[in-house]
Amino acid sequence: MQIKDAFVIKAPQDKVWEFLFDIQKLSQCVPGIESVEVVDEKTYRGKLVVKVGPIKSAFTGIVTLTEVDAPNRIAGTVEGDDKSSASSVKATFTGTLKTVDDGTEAAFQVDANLRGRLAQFGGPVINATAKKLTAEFAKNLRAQLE
Amino acid sequence: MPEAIPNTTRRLLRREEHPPRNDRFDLMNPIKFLEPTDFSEATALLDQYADDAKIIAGGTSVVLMLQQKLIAPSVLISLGRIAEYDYIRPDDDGLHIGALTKLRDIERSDVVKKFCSALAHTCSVVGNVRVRNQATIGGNLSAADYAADPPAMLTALDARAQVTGPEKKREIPLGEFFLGFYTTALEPNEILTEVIIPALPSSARAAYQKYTSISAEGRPCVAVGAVADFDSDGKCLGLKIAVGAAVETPQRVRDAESLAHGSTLTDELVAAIAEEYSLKLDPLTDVRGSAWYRKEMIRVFVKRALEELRGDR
Repeated sequence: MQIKDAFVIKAPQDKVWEFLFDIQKLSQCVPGIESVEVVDEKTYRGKLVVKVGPIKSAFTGIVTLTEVDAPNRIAGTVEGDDKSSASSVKATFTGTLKTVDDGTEAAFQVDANLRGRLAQFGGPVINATAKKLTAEFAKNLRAQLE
Repeated sequence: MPEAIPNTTRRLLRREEHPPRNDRFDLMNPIKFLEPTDFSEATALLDQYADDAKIIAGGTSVVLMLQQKLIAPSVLISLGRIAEYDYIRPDDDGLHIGALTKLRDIERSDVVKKFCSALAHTCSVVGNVRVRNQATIGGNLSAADYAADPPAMLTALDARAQVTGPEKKREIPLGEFFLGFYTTALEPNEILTEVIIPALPSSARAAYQKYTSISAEGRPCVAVGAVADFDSDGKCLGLKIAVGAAVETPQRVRDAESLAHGSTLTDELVAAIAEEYSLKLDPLTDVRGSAWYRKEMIRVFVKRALEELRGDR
Protein backbone atom coordinates (compact mmCIF):
# COMPACT_ATOMS: atom_id res chain seq x y z
CA MET A 1 0.00 0.00 0.00
CA GLN A 2 1.35 3.36 -0.96
CA ILE A 3 0.50 6.68 0.64
CA LYS A 4 1.71 9.85 -1.04
CA ASP A 5 0.99 13.44 -0.15
CA ALA A 6 2.51 16.91 -0.21
CA PHE A 7 1.82 20.34 1.18
CA VAL A 8 3.38 23.79 1.14
CA ILE A 9 4.44 25.75 4.20
CA LYS A 10 5.13 29.44 3.96
CA ALA A 11 8.53 29.31 5.66
CA PRO A 12 12.14 28.97 4.50
CA GLN A 13 13.39 25.44 3.88
CA ASP A 14 16.10 25.57 6.56
CA LYS A 15 13.63 26.60 9.18
CA VAL A 16 11.19 23.84 8.23
CA TRP A 17 13.99 21.25 8.29
CA GLU A 18 15.20 22.41 11.66
CA PHE A 19 11.69 22.23 13.09
CA LEU A 20 11.00 18.77 11.68
CA PHE A 21 14.26 17.49 13.12
CA ASP A 22 13.46 18.66 16.60
CA ILE A 23 11.62 15.52 17.62
CA GLN A 24 9.79 17.10 20.54
CA LYS A 25 8.48 19.97 18.43
CA LEU A 26 7.62 17.61 15.60
CA SER A 27 5.71 15.21 17.79
CA GLN A 28 3.52 18.04 19.02
CA CYS A 29 2.34 18.53 15.46
CA VAL A 30 1.59 14.91 14.62
CA PRO A 31 -2.03 14.17 15.51
CA GLY A 32 -2.40 11.25 17.92
CA ILE A 33 1.21 10.97 19.14
CA GLU A 34 1.08 9.97 22.79
CA SER A 35 4.76 9.57 23.53
CA VAL A 36 8.05 9.73 21.77
CA GLU A 37 11.56 9.05 22.95
CA VAL A 38 14.96 9.22 21.35
CA VAL A 39 16.79 5.89 21.43
CA ASP A 40 19.83 7.18 19.55
CA GLU A 41 20.28 9.82 16.90
CA LYS A 42 18.82 7.65 14.18
CA THR A 43 16.28 5.68 16.16
CA TYR A 44 13.09 6.83 17.83
CA ARG A 45 10.44 4.98 19.74
CA GLY A 46 6.88 6.24 19.95
CA LYS A 47 3.21 5.57 20.45
CA LEU A 48 0.55 6.75 18.04
CA VAL A 49 -3.19 6.55 18.59
CA VAL A 50 -5.35 6.54 15.46
CA LYS A 51 -9.12 6.60 15.48
CA VAL A 52 -11.34 5.60 12.58
CA GLY A 53 -14.98 5.79 13.51
CA PRO A 54 -15.57 3.28 16.30
CA ILE A 55 -12.14 1.72 16.01
CA LYS A 56 -9.26 3.02 18.02
CA SER A 57 -5.83 1.57 17.60
CA ALA A 58 -2.67 2.37 19.48
CA PHE A 59 0.52 1.59 17.62
CA THR A 60 3.83 1.43 19.40
CA GLY A 61 6.78 1.34 17.12
CA ILE A 62 10.30 2.18 16.19
CA VAL A 63 11.36 4.63 13.52
CA THR A 64 14.84 4.18 12.08
CA LEU A 65 16.36 6.77 9.79
CA THR A 66 18.42 5.24 7.00
CA GLU A 67 19.26 8.37 5.08
CA VAL A 68 19.55 11.99 6.17
CA ASP A 69 20.48 14.61 3.62
CA ALA A 70 19.97 17.95 5.35
CA PRO A 71 17.98 20.01 4.51
CA ASN A 72 16.50 18.11 1.56
CA ARG A 73 15.67 14.51 2.10
CA ILE A 74 15.22 11.78 4.69
CA ALA A 75 14.41 8.13 4.37
CA GLY A 76 13.76 5.45 6.91
CA THR A 77 11.72 2.55 8.11
CA VAL A 78 8.91 2.16 10.60
CA GLU A 79 8.00 -1.00 12.44
CA GLY A 80 5.15 -1.07 14.84
CA ASP A 81 2.28 -3.05 16.23
CA ASP A 82 -1.08 -2.61 17.88
CA LYS A 83 -1.65 -5.29 20.48
CA SER A 84 -5.37 -4.80 20.94
CA SER A 85 -6.24 -5.45 17.29
CA ALA A 86 -3.29 -7.80 16.71
CA SER A 87 -2.09 -5.75 13.78
CA SER A 88 1.38 -4.81 12.74
CA VAL A 89 2.86 -2.44 10.24
CA LYS A 90 6.15 -2.37 8.41
CA ALA A 91 6.86 0.60 6.25
CA THR A 92 9.56 2.48 4.43
CA PHE A 93 9.24 6.19 3.91
CA THR A 94 10.95 9.06 2.19
CA GLY A 95 10.38 12.72 2.85
CA THR A 96 11.66 15.61 0.79
CA LEU A 97 11.73 19.36 1.23
CA LYS A 98 11.95 21.68 -1.75
CA THR A 99 12.04 25.46 -1.92
CA VAL A 100 9.15 26.75 -4.00
CA ASP A 101 7.88 30.26 -4.80
CA ASP A 102 5.83 30.77 -1.69
CA GLY A 103 7.80 28.73 0.83
CA THR A 104 8.74 25.10 1.18
CA GLU A 105 7.06 22.10 -0.30
CA ALA A 106 7.09 19.05 1.93
CA ALA A 107 6.37 15.77 0.18
CA PHE A 108 6.39 12.26 1.50
CA GLN A 109 5.82 8.77 0.29
CA VAL A 110 5.15 5.76 2.47
CA ASP A 111 5.15 2.15 1.33
CA ALA A 112 3.41 0.34 4.09
CA ASN A 113 2.63 -3.28 4.69
CA LEU A 114 -0.18 -3.60 7.19
CA ARG A 115 -0.98 -7.03 8.58
CA GLY A 116 -3.53 -8.31 11.04
CA ARG A 117 -7.11 -7.41 11.71
CA LEU A 118 -6.87 -3.76 10.77
CA ALA A 119 -5.65 -4.73 7.31
CA GLN A 120 -9.11 -6.00 6.35
CA PHE A 121 -10.27 -2.42 6.24
CA GLY A 122 -8.41 -2.17 3.01
CA GLY A 123 -6.72 0.66 1.20
CA PRO A 124 -9.49 3.25 0.88
CA VAL A 125 -10.14 3.59 4.60
CA ILE A 126 -6.46 3.70 5.45
CA ASN A 127 -5.68 6.16 2.67
CA ALA A 128 -8.50 8.46 3.75
CA THR A 129 -7.27 8.32 7.32
CA ALA A 130 -3.72 9.10 6.20
CA LYS A 131 -4.98 12.06 4.19
CA LYS A 132 -6.88 13.38 7.17
CA LEU A 133 -3.89 13.00 9.48
CA THR A 134 -1.63 14.70 6.92
CA ALA A 135 -3.99 17.64 6.58
CA GLU A 136 -4.09 18.02 10.34
CA PHE A 137 -0.32 17.72 10.59
CA ALA A 138 0.14 20.39 7.90
CA LYS A 139 -2.27 22.66 9.72
CA ASN A 140 -0.40 22.25 13.00
CA LEU A 141 2.92 22.82 11.26
CA ARG A 142 1.65 26.01 9.64
CA ALA A 143 0.45 27.28 13.00
CA GLN A 144 3.97 26.84 14.33
CA LEU A 145 6.02 28.06 11.38
CA GLU A 146 4.06 30.62 9.38
CA MET B 1 -34.52 -10.75 30.86
CA PRO B 2 -31.53 -12.51 29.28
CA GLU B 3 -33.45 -13.23 26.06
CA ALA B 4 -32.94 -9.61 25.11
CA ILE B 5 -29.24 -10.23 24.60
CA PRO B 6 -28.41 -11.38 21.07
CA ASN B 7 -27.07 -14.94 21.03
CA THR B 8 -23.67 -14.10 19.67
CA THR B 9 -23.21 -11.37 22.23
CA ARG B 10 -24.21 -13.74 24.98
CA ARG B 11 -21.63 -16.20 23.77
CA LEU B 12 -18.99 -13.50 23.90
CA LEU B 13 -20.07 -12.61 27.40
CA ARG B 14 -19.98 -16.19 28.66
CA ARG B 15 -16.30 -16.14 29.23
CA GLU B 16 -16.03 -18.73 31.96
CA GLU B 17 -17.31 -21.51 29.68
CA HIS B 18 -14.60 -20.85 27.16
CA PRO B 19 -11.20 -20.53 28.74
CA PRO B 20 -9.09 -17.93 26.95
CA ARG B 21 -7.16 -19.49 24.10
CA ASN B 22 -4.53 -16.82 24.35
CA ASP B 23 -3.87 -13.75 26.41
CA ARG B 24 -5.30 -11.46 23.76
CA PHE B 25 -8.68 -12.92 24.49
CA ASP B 26 -8.43 -11.30 27.88
CA LEU B 27 -8.21 -7.82 26.46
CA MET B 28 -11.84 -7.57 25.48
CA ASN B 29 -13.21 -9.09 28.68
CA PRO B 30 -15.09 -8.72 30.82
CA ILE B 31 -17.69 -6.70 28.93
CA LYS B 32 -20.36 -5.09 31.01
CA PHE B 33 -23.75 -5.36 29.31
CA LEU B 34 -26.07 -2.52 30.23
CA GLU B 35 -29.69 -2.35 29.21
CA PRO B 36 -31.19 1.09 29.69
CA THR B 37 -34.93 1.32 29.22
CA ASP B 38 -35.09 4.77 27.65
CA PHE B 39 -32.88 7.04 25.59
CA SER B 40 -32.17 9.56 28.35
CA GLU B 41 -30.75 6.75 30.46
CA ALA B 42 -28.75 5.52 27.47
CA THR B 43 -27.23 8.92 26.74
CA ALA B 44 -26.42 9.37 30.43
CA LEU B 45 -24.57 6.04 30.33
CA LEU B 46 -22.75 7.14 27.19
CA ASP B 47 -21.72 10.30 28.99
CA GLN B 48 -20.51 8.28 31.93
CA TYR B 49 -18.46 5.66 30.10
CA ALA B 50 -17.47 7.81 27.10
CA ASP B 51 -14.90 6.01 24.93
CA ASP B 52 -15.14 2.73 26.84
CA ALA B 53 -18.72 2.17 25.76
CA LYS B 54 -20.31 1.13 22.50
CA ILE B 55 -23.97 1.28 21.62
CA ILE B 56 -25.44 -1.96 20.37
CA ALA B 57 -28.86 -2.26 18.74
CA GLY B 58 -29.35 -5.16 16.29
CA GLY B 59 -25.71 -6.02 16.69
CA THR B 60 -25.03 -6.94 13.06
CA SER B 61 -22.17 -4.49 12.89
CA VAL B 62 -20.96 -4.23 16.49
CA VAL B 63 -20.85 -8.00 17.10
CA LEU B 64 -18.84 -8.51 13.92
CA MET B 65 -16.35 -5.94 15.06
CA LEU B 66 -16.20 -7.54 18.51
CA GLN B 67 -15.59 -10.95 17.01
CA GLN B 68 -12.86 -9.58 14.79
CA LYS B 69 -11.52 -7.81 17.87
CA LEU B 70 -11.45 -4.51 16.05
CA ILE B 71 -13.10 -2.91 19.04
CA ALA B 72 -12.64 -3.77 22.68
CA PRO B 73 -15.23 -1.82 24.65
CA SER B 74 -15.52 -2.51 28.37
CA VAL B 75 -19.20 -1.58 28.29
CA LEU B 76 -21.93 -2.41 25.79
CA ILE B 77 -25.02 -0.27 26.03
CA SER B 78 -27.83 -2.27 24.49
CA LEU B 79 -30.86 -0.49 23.11
CA GLY B 80 -32.79 -3.76 23.05
CA ARG B 81 -34.99 -2.91 26.00
CA ILE B 82 -35.95 0.55 24.85
CA ALA B 83 -39.53 0.19 23.74
CA GLU B 84 -41.53 2.47 21.48
CA TYR B 85 -38.76 3.27 19.04
CA ASP B 86 -39.75 0.50 16.68
CA TYR B 87 -42.35 2.29 14.58
CA ILE B 88 -43.20 3.48 11.10
CA ARG B 89 -45.52 6.45 11.30
CA PRO B 90 -46.81 8.55 8.42
CA ASP B 91 -47.39 12.18 9.33
CA ASP B 92 -48.25 15.39 7.49
CA ASP B 93 -44.59 16.31 7.17
CA GLY B 94 -43.47 12.90 6.02
CA LEU B 95 -42.61 9.43 7.21
CA HIS B 96 -41.15 8.89 10.66
CA ILE B 97 -39.21 5.69 11.26
CA GLY B 98 -38.04 4.86 14.76
CA ALA B 99 -34.33 4.12 15.01
CA LEU B 100 -34.92 0.63 16.38
CA THR B 101 -37.09 -0.45 13.45
CA LYS B 102 -35.65 -3.54 11.79
CA LEU B 103 -34.77 -3.32 8.10
CA ARG B 104 -37.02 -6.33 7.54
CA ASP B 105 -40.00 -4.42 8.94
CA ILE B 106 -39.33 -1.47 6.64
CA GLU B 107 -39.00 -3.83 3.69
CA ARG B 108 -42.38 -5.44 4.46
CA SER B 109 -44.29 -2.40 5.64
CA ASP B 110 -47.32 -1.45 3.56
CA VAL B 111 -47.02 2.10 4.86
CA VAL B 112 -43.46 2.35 3.51
CA LYS B 113 -44.43 0.69 0.21
CA LYS B 114 -47.20 3.24 -0.21
CA PHE B 115 -45.01 6.17 0.81
CA CYS B 116 -42.02 5.21 -1.33
CA SER B 117 -41.72 1.69 -2.68
CA ALA B 118 -38.08 2.30 -3.64
CA LEU B 119 -37.23 2.66 0.06
CA ALA B 120 -38.86 -0.67 0.86
CA HIS B 121 -36.94 -2.16 -2.07
CA THR B 122 -33.67 -0.67 -0.76
CA CYS B 123 -34.15 -2.32 2.61
CA SER B 124 -35.09 -5.60 0.93
CA VAL B 125 -31.70 -5.92 -0.79
CA VAL B 126 -29.54 -5.41 2.31
CA GLY B 127 -27.39 -8.45 3.13
CA ASN B 128 -29.63 -11.43 3.68
CA VAL B 129 -32.89 -12.03 5.50
CA ARG B 130 -31.17 -13.00 8.76
CA VAL B 131 -29.26 -9.73 8.77
CA ARG B 132 -32.39 -7.73 7.94
CA ASN B 133 -34.34 -9.42 10.74
CA GLN B 134 -31.74 -8.17 13.17
CA ALA B 135 -30.30 -4.91 11.78
CA THR B 136 -31.99 -1.64 12.68
CA ILE B 137 -32.23 1.44 10.50
CA GLY B 138 -30.65 3.56 13.23
CA GLY B 139 -27.75 1.17 13.55
CA ASN B 140 -27.27 0.98 9.81
CA LEU B 141 -26.95 4.76 9.52
CA SER B 142 -24.91 5.25 12.72
CA ALA B 143 -22.36 2.63 11.67
CA ALA B 144 -21.73 4.79 8.57
CA ASP B 145 -20.40 1.83 6.64
CA TYR B 146 -19.77 3.11 3.13
CA ALA B 147 -20.71 -0.22 1.56
CA ALA B 148 -24.33 -0.09 2.68
CA ASP B 149 -27.62 0.35 0.84
CA PRO B 150 -29.93 2.63 2.86
CA PRO B 151 -27.63 5.69 3.10
CA ALA B 152 -27.71 6.46 -0.66
CA MET B 153 -31.49 6.08 -0.97
CA LEU B 154 -32.22 8.05 2.19
CA THR B 155 -29.81 10.82 1.16
CA ALA B 156 -31.60 11.13 -2.19
CA LEU B 157 -34.90 11.29 -0.28
CA ASP B 158 -33.50 14.23 1.74
CA ALA B 159 -34.07 12.33 4.98
CA ARG B 160 -33.07 13.77 8.33
CA ALA B 161 -31.68 12.03 11.38
CA GLN B 162 -33.19 13.01 14.68
CA VAL B 163 -30.56 12.55 17.37
CA THR B 164 -30.96 12.67 21.12
CA GLY B 165 -28.28 13.89 23.49
CA PRO B 166 -28.34 14.26 27.25
CA GLU B 167 -29.82 17.76 27.02
CA LYS B 168 -31.59 18.14 23.76
CA LYS B 169 -32.78 16.63 20.54
CA ARG B 170 -31.63 17.93 17.18
CA GLU B 171 -32.04 17.06 13.54
CA ILE B 172 -29.21 16.50 11.09
CA PRO B 173 -29.90 16.29 7.35
CA LEU B 174 -28.36 13.03 6.08
CA GLY B 175 -26.34 15.06 3.59
CA GLU B 176 -24.43 16.40 6.59
CA PHE B 177 -24.66 13.29 8.76
CA PHE B 178 -21.98 11.14 7.12
CA LEU B 179 -18.55 12.68 7.62
CA GLY B 180 -16.33 9.88 6.37
CA PHE B 181 -15.60 6.18 6.70
CA TYR B 182 -17.46 4.94 9.78
CA THR B 183 -17.68 8.54 11.00
CA THR B 184 -20.86 10.55 11.57
CA ALA B 185 -21.82 13.97 12.86
CA LEU B 186 -23.12 12.34 16.07
CA GLU B 187 -21.51 13.75 19.19
CA PRO B 188 -19.97 11.07 21.44
CA ASN B 189 -22.98 11.23 23.76
CA GLU B 190 -25.70 11.37 21.11
CA ILE B 191 -27.84 8.53 19.76
CA LEU B 192 -29.84 8.48 16.55
CA THR B 193 -33.47 8.09 17.55
CA GLU B 194 -35.57 8.66 14.44
CA VAL B 195 -35.29 8.95 10.68
CA ILE B 196 -37.61 11.48 9.08
CA ILE B 197 -38.30 11.34 5.36
CA PRO B 198 -40.01 14.48 4.06
CA ALA B 199 -43.35 13.98 2.31
CA LEU B 200 -43.08 13.41 -1.43
CA PRO B 201 -45.47 15.03 -3.92
CA SER B 202 -47.85 12.45 -5.35
CA SER B 203 -46.26 12.92 -8.76
CA ALA B 204 -42.79 12.07 -7.49
CA ARG B 205 -41.00 8.85 -8.33
CA ALA B 206 -38.06 7.19 -6.67
CA ALA B 207 -35.67 4.43 -7.65
CA TYR B 208 -32.85 2.47 -6.09
CA GLN B 209 -30.26 0.71 -8.21
CA LYS B 210 -27.77 -1.56 -6.53
CA TYR B 211 -24.80 -3.11 -8.23
CA THR B 212 -23.16 -6.06 -6.50
CA SER B 213 -19.86 -7.14 -7.99
CA ILE B 214 -19.16 -10.05 -5.64
CA SER B 215 -21.84 -12.70 -5.49
CA ALA B 216 -20.56 -14.09 -2.18
CA GLU B 217 -21.64 -11.04 -0.24
CA GLY B 218 -24.53 -8.65 -0.45
CA ARG B 219 -22.63 -5.42 -0.20
CA PRO B 220 -22.99 -2.94 -3.04
CA CYS B 221 -20.12 -1.93 -5.30
CA VAL B 222 -22.21 1.01 -6.43
CA ALA B 223 -25.49 2.19 -4.87
CA VAL B 224 -27.67 4.77 -6.58
CA GLY B 225 -30.73 6.36 -5.01
CA ALA B 226 -32.75 8.71 -7.22
CA VAL B 227 -35.87 10.81 -6.66
CA ALA B 228 -37.60 13.04 -9.19
CA ASP B 229 -40.81 14.98 -9.47
CA PHE B 230 -42.58 15.39 -12.80
CA ASP B 231 -45.33 17.72 -14.02
CA SER B 232 -48.32 16.50 -16.04
CA ASP B 233 -46.36 16.83 -19.32
CA GLY B 234 -43.61 14.60 -18.00
CA LYS B 235 -41.17 17.44 -17.50
CA CYS B 236 -38.83 17.00 -14.56
CA LEU B 237 -39.43 19.50 -11.77
CA GLY B 238 -36.58 18.41 -9.56
CA LEU B 239 -34.06 15.61 -9.44
CA LYS B 240 -31.92 14.23 -6.66
CA ILE B 241 -29.44 11.43 -7.14
CA ALA B 242 -27.16 10.15 -4.40
CA VAL B 243 -24.39 7.70 -5.17
CA GLY B 244 -23.07 5.59 -2.32
CA ALA B 245 -20.80 2.58 -1.72
CA ALA B 246 -18.41 3.70 -4.47
CA VAL B 247 -17.40 6.78 -2.50
CA GLU B 248 -16.65 7.50 1.15
CA THR B 249 -20.06 9.03 1.89
CA PRO B 250 -23.19 9.31 -0.30
CA GLN B 251 -22.55 12.03 -2.86
CA ARG B 252 -24.80 14.21 -4.96
CA VAL B 253 -23.63 16.19 -7.98
CA ARG B 254 -25.80 19.32 -8.06
CA ASP B 255 -24.64 20.44 -11.52
CA ALA B 256 -25.74 17.13 -12.97
CA GLU B 257 -29.06 17.17 -11.11
CA SER B 258 -29.88 20.66 -12.35
CA LEU B 259 -29.50 19.54 -15.98
CA ALA B 260 -32.85 17.82 -15.61
CA HIS B 261 -34.83 20.81 -14.35
CA GLY B 262 -37.67 21.68 -16.67
CA SER B 263 -36.77 19.02 -19.20
CA THR B 264 -38.08 15.68 -20.26
CA LEU B 265 -35.73 12.82 -19.42
CA THR B 266 -34.71 11.97 -22.96
CA ASP B 267 -32.06 9.35 -23.70
CA GLU B 268 -29.54 12.13 -24.40
CA LEU B 269 -30.28 13.90 -21.13
CA VAL B 270 -30.09 10.67 -19.14
CA ALA B 271 -26.73 9.90 -20.72
CA ALA B 272 -25.47 13.42 -20.02
CA ILE B 273 -26.44 13.25 -16.34
CA ALA B 274 -24.88 9.80 -15.94
CA GLU B 275 -21.72 11.04 -17.64
CA GLU B 276 -21.53 14.04 -15.31
CA TYR B 277 -21.82 11.79 -12.25
CA SER B 278 -19.13 9.50 -13.57
CA LEU B 279 -16.83 12.48 -14.24
CA LYS B 280 -17.37 14.42 -11.04
CA LEU B 281 -17.18 11.63 -8.48
CA ASP B 282 -13.87 10.33 -7.23
CA PRO B 283 -14.55 6.66 -6.42
CA LEU B 284 -12.48 4.43 -4.16
CA THR B 285 -10.72 1.14 -4.81
CA ASP B 286 -11.48 -1.91 -2.70
CA VAL B 287 -12.22 -5.62 -3.13
CA ARG B 288 -15.49 -4.81 -4.88
CA GLY B 289 -13.87 -2.86 -7.67
CA SER B 290 -11.20 -0.39 -8.69
CA ALA B 291 -11.75 3.34 -8.93
CA TRP B 292 -11.71 3.14 -12.73
CA TYR B 293 -14.23 0.29 -12.78
CA ARG B 294 -16.50 2.11 -10.37
CA LYS B 295 -16.46 5.24 -12.51
CA GLU B 296 -17.77 3.12 -15.37
CA MET B 297 -20.37 1.44 -13.16
CA ILE B 298 -21.53 4.79 -11.75
CA ARG B 299 -22.29 5.84 -15.31
CA VAL B 300 -24.23 2.64 -15.97
CA PHE B 301 -26.21 2.62 -12.74
CA VAL B 302 -27.08 6.32 -12.64
CA LYS B 303 -28.43 5.79 -16.15
CA ARG B 304 -30.45 2.78 -15.02
CA ALA B 305 -31.83 4.69 -12.03
CA LEU B 306 -32.96 7.51 -14.34
CA GLU B 307 -34.53 5.02 -16.72
CA GLU B 308 -36.38 3.53 -13.79
CA LEU B 309 -37.63 7.00 -12.81
CA ARG B 310 -38.79 7.45 -16.37
CA GLY B 311 -40.70 4.20 -16.15
CA ASP B 312 -38.62 2.11 -18.58
CA ARG B 313 -37.60 -0.43 -15.98
